[in-house]
Amino acid sequence: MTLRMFIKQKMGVLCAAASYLLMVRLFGYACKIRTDFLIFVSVVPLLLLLVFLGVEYYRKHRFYKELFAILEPLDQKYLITEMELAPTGEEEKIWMDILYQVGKSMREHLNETEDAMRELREYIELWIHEIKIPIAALQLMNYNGNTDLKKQKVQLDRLYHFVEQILFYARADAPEKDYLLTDSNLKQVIHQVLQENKTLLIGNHVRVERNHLDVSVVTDSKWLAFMLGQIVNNCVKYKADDRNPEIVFTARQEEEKTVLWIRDNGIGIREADLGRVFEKSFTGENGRKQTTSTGMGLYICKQLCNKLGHTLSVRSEPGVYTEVCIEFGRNRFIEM
Amino acid sequence: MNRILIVEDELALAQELQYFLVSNQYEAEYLTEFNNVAKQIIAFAPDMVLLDIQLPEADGQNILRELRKDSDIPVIMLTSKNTEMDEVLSMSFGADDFISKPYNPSILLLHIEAVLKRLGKQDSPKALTYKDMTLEEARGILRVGQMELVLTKNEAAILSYLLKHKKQIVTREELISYLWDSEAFVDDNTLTVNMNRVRKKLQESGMEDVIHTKRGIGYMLE
Repeated sequence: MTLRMFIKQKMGVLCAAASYLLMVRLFGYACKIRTDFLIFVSVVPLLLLLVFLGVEYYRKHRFYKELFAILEPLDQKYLITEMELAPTGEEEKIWMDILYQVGKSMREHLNETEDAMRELREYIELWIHEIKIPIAALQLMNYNGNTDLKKQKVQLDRLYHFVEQILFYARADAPEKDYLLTDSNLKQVIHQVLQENKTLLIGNHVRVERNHLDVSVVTDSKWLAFMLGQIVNNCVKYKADDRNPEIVFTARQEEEKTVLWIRDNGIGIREADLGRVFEKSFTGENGRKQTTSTGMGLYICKQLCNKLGHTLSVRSEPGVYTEVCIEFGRNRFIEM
Repeated sequence: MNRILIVEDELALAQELQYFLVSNQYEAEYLTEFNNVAKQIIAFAPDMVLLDIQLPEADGQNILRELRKDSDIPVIMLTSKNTEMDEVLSMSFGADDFISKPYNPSILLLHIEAVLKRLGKQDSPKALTYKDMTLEEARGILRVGQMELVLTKNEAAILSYLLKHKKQIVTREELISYLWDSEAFVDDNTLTVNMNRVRKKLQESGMEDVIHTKRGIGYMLE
């Protein structure tokens, strides 16, 4: 802080002092007060004021000099508030405090972004490894001149499944709304999902049961189809080896909501893992047994459900069943 | 025969699509130039257009809008964008249907049939016949001589698939897959039950032993 800046800042005080001197003079003349007394009441306060200002200037000057001395060589300027700096004036204290808070929220934001970036990078890496498997399989089939179309179809479906997953992963994290809530018939959406996963389901001899699905819910049918696709894939992925897999879709209309249950007779989920299945990259006990678990399917479903305003939950008994439940709220606004 | 025009800039896809449609009893051509697509479509005068949304010169939605100014040729949009928004947008520009890539070929075929049927352009479906019997799949009726038998949806579908593949071995998986496309999500056991019913009904009408079981492979209509 230069002297000029300081004087400019204290201009008000200086003006007040000048007008004080003027008034003392006028008052002195008017009342014929003794000159030496007048000089005393003019000079003493003036001297005192100058001393106070001088001290203040010195402290401010030192503080800002120190501040700049630290700031200048600093690589990450936003770390300035982490430095040992003793603000001298009250105003400086307030500003340092504000600066500290601004810096803190910025650093938090930065950390979040860095975490998200790291997660994305990790997921993409995992995803690339996953998608290389069907590519490798197809490559080999092509090389061997294998014309088993059914086998090729299984690999193609896997490719498609992974591509869909990463697309919806991007959508789940993107802040903009690219969904459209409309009245969708559950039966139609489920039929579409079953047909899309036909090869997988028929190939694994899955018995499909559908109960009371002819109801309409307010949702984005594309997003719902994707979520059901993930759930159906999980049902097959985690099927029990000792019995024929089955998937039961059941819907029920309640007063304020419509509920859809998707229940399989697979290996189930341990109670300890149950609370964490919607976490990002969580694979749990079952995931360790299976090599193809990315821990992303249900996480993405949960994110999409949150965006659409549906509730997603899971119940399970290990070795008996897993049941995923989606609750669709009734949107009166759309119904009107 | 219905003529279908494919507007798709990815040559490999266009060719496969053409091959697929031709092998399913349609006449199919594809465009190789993408200037003035709307004019080309009108000049070609097809019964239906399969229109890709992303094309090199203009995007499909604009082409569709232009086309709709002078023509109401049925259009099915093909796209790799698959948001609900794109679908609604395309429909509002006058598309008759919307399918996202990668499409299941038999679903594409069903959509084409459905659009043609809705617009009354479908050739009258060929009645499926074999010896004395005639199957009207849409109505679920099997005629044997003077007799009329009512079949369930699944039974009609099974029989229709066998009739379309006469003298070929049809595997159980093929049959199940075909039934799934017609929204009958049957499993192995259900297929066995349905198959037995079809056989019984055929037997009642005096057509014994027409469906042969090829042990471990599937069935055959001889």
